[in-house]
Amino acid sequence: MVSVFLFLLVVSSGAISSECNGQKCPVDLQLKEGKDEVIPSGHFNLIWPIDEDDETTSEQSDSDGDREDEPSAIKGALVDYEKHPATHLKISSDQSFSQVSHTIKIHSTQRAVSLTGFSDGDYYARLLDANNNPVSDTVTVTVEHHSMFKVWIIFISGATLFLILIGYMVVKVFRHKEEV
Amino acid sequence: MDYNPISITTALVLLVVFGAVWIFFGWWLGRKNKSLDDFMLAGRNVGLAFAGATAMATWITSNTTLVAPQLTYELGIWGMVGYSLAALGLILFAPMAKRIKELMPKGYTCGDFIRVRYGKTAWIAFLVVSFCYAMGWLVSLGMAGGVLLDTLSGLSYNVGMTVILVICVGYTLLGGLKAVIATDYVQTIIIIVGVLIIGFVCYQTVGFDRVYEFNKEHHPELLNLLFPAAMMFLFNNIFFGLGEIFHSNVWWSRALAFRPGIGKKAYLMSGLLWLPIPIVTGFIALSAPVLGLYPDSSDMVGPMVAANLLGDIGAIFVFIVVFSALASSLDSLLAATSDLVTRDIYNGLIDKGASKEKLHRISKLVIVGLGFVTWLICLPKITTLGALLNFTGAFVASTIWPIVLGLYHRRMSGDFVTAALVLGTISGLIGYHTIGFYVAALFSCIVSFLICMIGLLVKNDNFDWQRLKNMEKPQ
Repeated sequence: MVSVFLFLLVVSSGAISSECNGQKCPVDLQLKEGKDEVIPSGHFNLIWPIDEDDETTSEQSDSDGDREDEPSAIKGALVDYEKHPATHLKISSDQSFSQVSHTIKIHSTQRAVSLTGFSDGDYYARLLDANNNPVSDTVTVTVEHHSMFKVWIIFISGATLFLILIGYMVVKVFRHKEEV
Repeated sequence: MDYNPISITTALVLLVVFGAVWIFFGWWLGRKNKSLDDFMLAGRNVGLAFAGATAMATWITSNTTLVAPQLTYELGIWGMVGYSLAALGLILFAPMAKRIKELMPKGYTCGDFIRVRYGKTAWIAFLVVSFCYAMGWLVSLGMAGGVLLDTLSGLSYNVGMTVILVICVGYTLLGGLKAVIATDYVQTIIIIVGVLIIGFVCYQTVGFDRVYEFNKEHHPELLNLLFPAAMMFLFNNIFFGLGEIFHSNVWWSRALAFRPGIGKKAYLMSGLLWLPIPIVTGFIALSAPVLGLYPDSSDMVGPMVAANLLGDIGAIFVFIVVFSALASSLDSLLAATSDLVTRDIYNGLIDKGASKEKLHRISKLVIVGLGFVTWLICLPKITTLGALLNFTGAFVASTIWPIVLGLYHRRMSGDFVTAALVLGTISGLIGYHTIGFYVAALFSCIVSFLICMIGLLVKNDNFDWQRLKNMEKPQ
C-alpha cells in the first residue's frame, strides 16, 4: 500500500538542467516546475541547487563567519548548506531587463525562492551578485491562467454540490431524532 | 534578522527540553492505563473542555500554521477564505459525532462502522482510502517538522524530521489517547495565544493598507477575486476539509472517547473557534512580500514572517507554537491510525480472536511501525506540504457522501459505496494531474455523490441499525 501511495505521488515530479550561453554559469538558475512548463496558477518556484563539483563555494562558506557562534562539530554534522555569490534576484517582463518589476534579496545560503501572484505574461528572471553582475542564466517563465469558462464550470459545480450538502445536513442531520 | 534566526544550539536545546517534557507528560498520564479502552479511547470518558481542546488542537496543525499561510501566499484572498471554511468540517461533524456515539457505543474505529454498515468490499476500499490519507498526513507532518527546523535554525532537514517523529512516537506510545488529548489541551493554549500575538504584531507593523497597496502593484492576482486557480480551490478545500474529518479515525475515535452528549458541543465549539485562525495566519502570509520576504518554499512563509516580525526571541516563540501544532496533530494521527490498523487490519483480517491485552500490545507495536514507515517516506522529501496534503484530497472527498448517507439512510448500499470510493478517488487523481491540486477533492466528491445518488435510486439495503449497536465481528 505504501509503495502504491509513493508511486502515485512521484508521477507528478520533474527536473531540468540549464546552461548559460554554452558556458556554465556560477549559479544554475532553474524553474522548478520544469523548463518549458506553463504556469497556470501565477505561482512558481525558482531553484539553484548546490553544484556538487564546485569546491570553492563550500570553502567560502567556512570562512564567511555567518555562524561563528556555532561549534564547528555540530555545524558539520547537522547543517546542510553551501554558499553562492548571488545577492539578489531580478524579474522583468522584458528580456533585456530594462524595466525590473521585482528585486528580491537572496541570502548567501538560500537555494530556492517561491514567487506568487503573477498575471498572464512572460517573465524573465536572473540572479545577480553584489556588483549587479549576472551570476546565473536567464530563466523564462510563462504564466497563463486557466480559462474562465473552465473555471466557472468547476466553480458552479462546487457551489451546487456544496448547497446540496448543506441542505441535506440542515434537513436530515441537524434535525435528526434518534430512532435506535 | 539572520536568514536562520535561531542558532543550532538553541534549536537543539529546545528540542531536548520539549521532547523530555512531552514524553514525561505522556508517561505520567499513561501510567494508569489498564485496558485497551483506556489506551485507545481514554476510558470513553473525556469531558467538554478537553474534548473541545483536542478537536481544535488536532485541526490546528501544519494545515493551519504552515499550509494555510502557504495557500494564501499562492492563491491570495480565496486561499485564505477557502482555508478558513475548512472549519465547516468540524461544525458539520458535530451532529454526526452524537449520532456515531449513539449508534455504536461499543465501537472503536470508523472502519468498524464501514464494515458493519456496508460490508467487507466497501470496508477494504475504505481502508485503502483511509490509510493513504493517514500516511499522507503523517508524512506531511514529519516533513513539516524537518522544514520548520531547517528554516528557523538551519538544522538539517533529516535531523529535525527524525527528532519530531521520535518525540511524538514516544509520548503516544507511553500515554495512548489520554496523553494525546491532554497534550493537545496544553498545545491549544500555546497555539491560540501564539497566533493571536503574531497576528497582532503583524497588523501593527505592516497594516492592511500597505499589504493592499504593495500586493496590488507587485502580486495583483493575490487580491483578484476572479483569480482562476483560487476560484477552483474555494469549494475544493471545503470538500477536502469535510472529507478529512468525516472519514478519519482521528475524529471518530474522539467522538467515541467523549462522554455521552459532549461530542456535538465539542465539535461545534472547536469549529467556531478555529474559523478565524486561518484568516490570521493568511494575513501574515500576505504581509510577506511587503516585508521583502520570499520563502524558499511557500509552506514556510508563515513561520518566516513571524520570525522576522518578532526578532530572535520571537523566532523561538514561533518555533514553540509551530512545534506544538505539529506535535498535537502528529500524536493524534499516530494514535488514530494505530487504532485503525490494530482493530481493522490485525483484529479484522489477521487474528480475529485476539484478546484485548494482545490488541493493546499490538497497537503499541503499530505506533512504532507507523513512526518508522513515516520516517522512511519523509527521508527523500518528495514534494511540498501543500501538494502532498491536496494529493490526499482526491482520496478523502470520495468518503463524504458514503459516510453521511451511511449514518442516516437505511437504503444506502455497500456495492454503490465501493464504486463511489474507487471511482471518486480515481476522478480526483485525474483532476490532480490534469488540472491541478485545487480540483482533486472537488472532482472526487462530485463523482462519489453521483454514484451514491444512483445507488439510492436503484437499490435498497434496508439496513438494521441494531447491527451497529451489537458491533458484529467480521465473517
